[in-house]
Amino acid sequence: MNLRLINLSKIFYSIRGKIKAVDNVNLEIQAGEFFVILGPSGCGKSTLLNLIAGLEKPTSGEIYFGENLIASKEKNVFIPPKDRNIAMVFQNYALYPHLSVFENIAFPLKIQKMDKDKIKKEVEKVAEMLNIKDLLTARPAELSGGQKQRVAIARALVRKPSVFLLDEPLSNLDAQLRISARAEIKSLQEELGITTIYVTHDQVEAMSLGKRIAVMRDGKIEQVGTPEELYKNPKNIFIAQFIGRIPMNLFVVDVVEDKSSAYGLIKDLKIKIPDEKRHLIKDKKIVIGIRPEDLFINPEKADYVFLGETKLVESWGREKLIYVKFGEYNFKILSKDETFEKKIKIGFNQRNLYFFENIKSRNQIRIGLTIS
Amino acid sequence: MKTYYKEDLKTSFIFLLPVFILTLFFIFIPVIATFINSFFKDIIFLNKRFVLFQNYFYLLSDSGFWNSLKFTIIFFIVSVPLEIFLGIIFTLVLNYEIPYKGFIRVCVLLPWAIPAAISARLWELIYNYSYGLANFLLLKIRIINEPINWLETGFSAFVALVIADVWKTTPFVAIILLAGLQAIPKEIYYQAVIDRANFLQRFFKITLPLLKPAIIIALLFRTIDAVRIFDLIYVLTKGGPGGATTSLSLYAYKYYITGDFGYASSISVILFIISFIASIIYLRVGKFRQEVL
Repeated sequence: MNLRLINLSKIFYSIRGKIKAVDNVNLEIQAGEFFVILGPSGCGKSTLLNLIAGLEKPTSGEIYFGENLIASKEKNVFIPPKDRNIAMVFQNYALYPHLSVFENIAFPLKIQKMDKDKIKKEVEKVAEMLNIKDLLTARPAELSGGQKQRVAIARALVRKPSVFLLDEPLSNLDAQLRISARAEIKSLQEELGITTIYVTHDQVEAMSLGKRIAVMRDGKIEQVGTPEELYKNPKNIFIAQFIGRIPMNLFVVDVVEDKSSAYGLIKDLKIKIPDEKRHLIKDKKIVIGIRPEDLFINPEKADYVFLGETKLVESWGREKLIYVKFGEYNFKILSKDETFEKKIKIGFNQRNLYFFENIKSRNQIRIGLTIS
Repeated sequence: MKTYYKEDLKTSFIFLLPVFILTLFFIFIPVIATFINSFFKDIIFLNKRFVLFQNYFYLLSDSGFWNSLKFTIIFFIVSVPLEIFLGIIFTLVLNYEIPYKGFIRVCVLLPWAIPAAISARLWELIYNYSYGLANFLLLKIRIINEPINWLETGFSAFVALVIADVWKTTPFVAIILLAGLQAIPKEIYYQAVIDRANFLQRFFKITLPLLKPAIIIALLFRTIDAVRIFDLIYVLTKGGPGGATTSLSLYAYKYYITGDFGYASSISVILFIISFIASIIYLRVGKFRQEVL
C-alpha cells in the first residue's frame, strides 16, 4: 500500500508558545518501499511517524493510505490507529513488562479474539522467523537489548500489517549488534515486502537501509532522494553536513570575478566556480564544500594542491582521520596512508567540489554546524 | 576474604545506623514494651503484678472490646476499598493532559495536606444538626425531608466517619498511584493502541497489572492507617453514640487515660497483630518482584 502525505502540519501549543513539529510536509511513499526519515533529534521525525500511526492528530493537511483518506482536520476525518492496520516498533521496544514473550507477541492477536490454536501457530511462526523460539516463556526483564528488539519486531509482524513503522529501533543497541540487526531488518523487509517507514537520526543507518530517504529539519522536509542522490547532490549545507560518514569540509570564501569566470579563494588557492553555480554567489561570498574522502595526500595528479600542516591524527584502523590546517582553514582528511610529515601535500579535484549559497541561520548553529 | 569486604561493611553499617537507631527506639522497644506490659496487671497507683494472659482472657469476655474490634474491621473493609477505587479514578483523571493540570492536582491533593484534627473539626461543622452544610444541601436537593442527626445514631455516625476518612485519604492513594502510573512509559500505551486494545482492555490488561505494586503499597499504608484510626473519631464522635464508633485504638486510649496500662497494652497488642497480619498478606500477594520496565 502506498502512502501520501499532503501539506501535513502538526503544531503543539505550550506555555512557551507554539511549536511547529511538522511543517507542511508533502511525501509520497511507494507500496513496498523501505522509506527512511532522517533528521537530528527534535526535528519532528517522530511526530511525523506518530501522525502516520494515528497517535497524533494532524493540525492541518491530509494523510492517504492508498486511496483512502485517513486523516484530515478540514474534512473531519480521523481513522483511529486500530483501524489503520499498522504496526510499530519503538526505541524502547515498549514490551509489556508483565507478560511473557509469548503473551507479548500474542497480545495483538488476543485483542482480535483470534482462536487460541491459531494464535499459538502464528506466534511460533513469527518466533521462528526471528530466531526467538526458545525465549517464548521468558519475561522482557530477562532479555538482552537485541532480544527485546526481536520480540518487538515479532509482535509487530505477527499481525501482518500493511504499513510497518519503526521509531529509532536500533538506537538502544550496541554498535556491533546494530550492524547485524540493521542487515536483518533490511532482509526481513525485502522478504515480506511490507511498506516500511523507518525513523532515525543516524545517517549511516539511513543510508544503508533506505531505498529513499527524506531528510528532515525543524519540521520541514529538506530533501528526498536515494542515498546516492543525497550523497552526490546535497541540496544545501545542512544536508551536506548531515549525510556522509564524516561531515563535509565547508568553507565560506571570498569570491573574485573576472570577465569570464568567478573564483573562490581558500587562502591563495583560486577555486574555479562553474558557471552554472555562479548564481549561488551572494555578497561576493560562496560556500565551498569537499568531502574528507575526496582529499588526497601526496597526489600524483590533482586539480588543486596545497601544503597543509598536520594537527591531529585519529587512527580508525585501516583509515586515518587527519586534521590539517591550511592558513585559517581547517580540513578533515580521510586517508589510508600510513606516514605523515608535519607538512603534507594535499590535493583535490574540481569534480569533487560542492558549492552552496552562504546562508547562516540560527538553526545551523543549533544543530552544531560550524563553517570554518 | 574478611578484610577484603571490611571497608564496604563498615560503610554500609554507618549508612544504616541512623535508621536502625530510629527503628529501635521508636518501633522495636515500644512494641516489645507493650507486649511485656500486656502480661501485667498494671493500674496506676497500684502495685504492678505479673498475670500472664489474664488481660487477654478479660478481652475475650469484654463486649466493649468485641464491639470496637467489629467496628474497626468493618470500618477498614468499607473505607479502604472505597479509597483505592476512588484513588484509581482520581489518578486516571489526573494523569490526563488537561488544562490547568497542576492546579487541579493541588486541589485534589489538598485534603491530605490538612492535619487530621483540623479536617475533623471541619467535618464536625459540616455534620452539625442545625447549621451544618450536609443537612443544608441534602434538604435543598430534597434527598431528605428532615435533617439527619449525623453523629448521634450508630449507622449515620459510621457513614459520616467513612465519608470524612475517604475525603481525607483518597488523595494519598492518588499520589502513590500517580507515581506508579507515571513510571509506565507512554510508548507502552501507544503500543497497546496500535495493537488495537480499546480503553477498557488497556486499563485491565496494561494499566492495572502494571499498577499492582503501587496499589499494594497504597493498600498496605491505608490498611494500617484505617485499623489504627483515632484522631478523626476522637474529634467527631468520641467513639459514640454509645460506643458504636469506638475503634480499637480509641478503646485502648480510654484504658490508658484511666490508668489501666496492662489492659490497654493488651488491646494495643491485638491492634498490632491485626496490622502485622494484614501487612504480611499484602506483601505476599504483591510478591514484590519488581518488573524492570
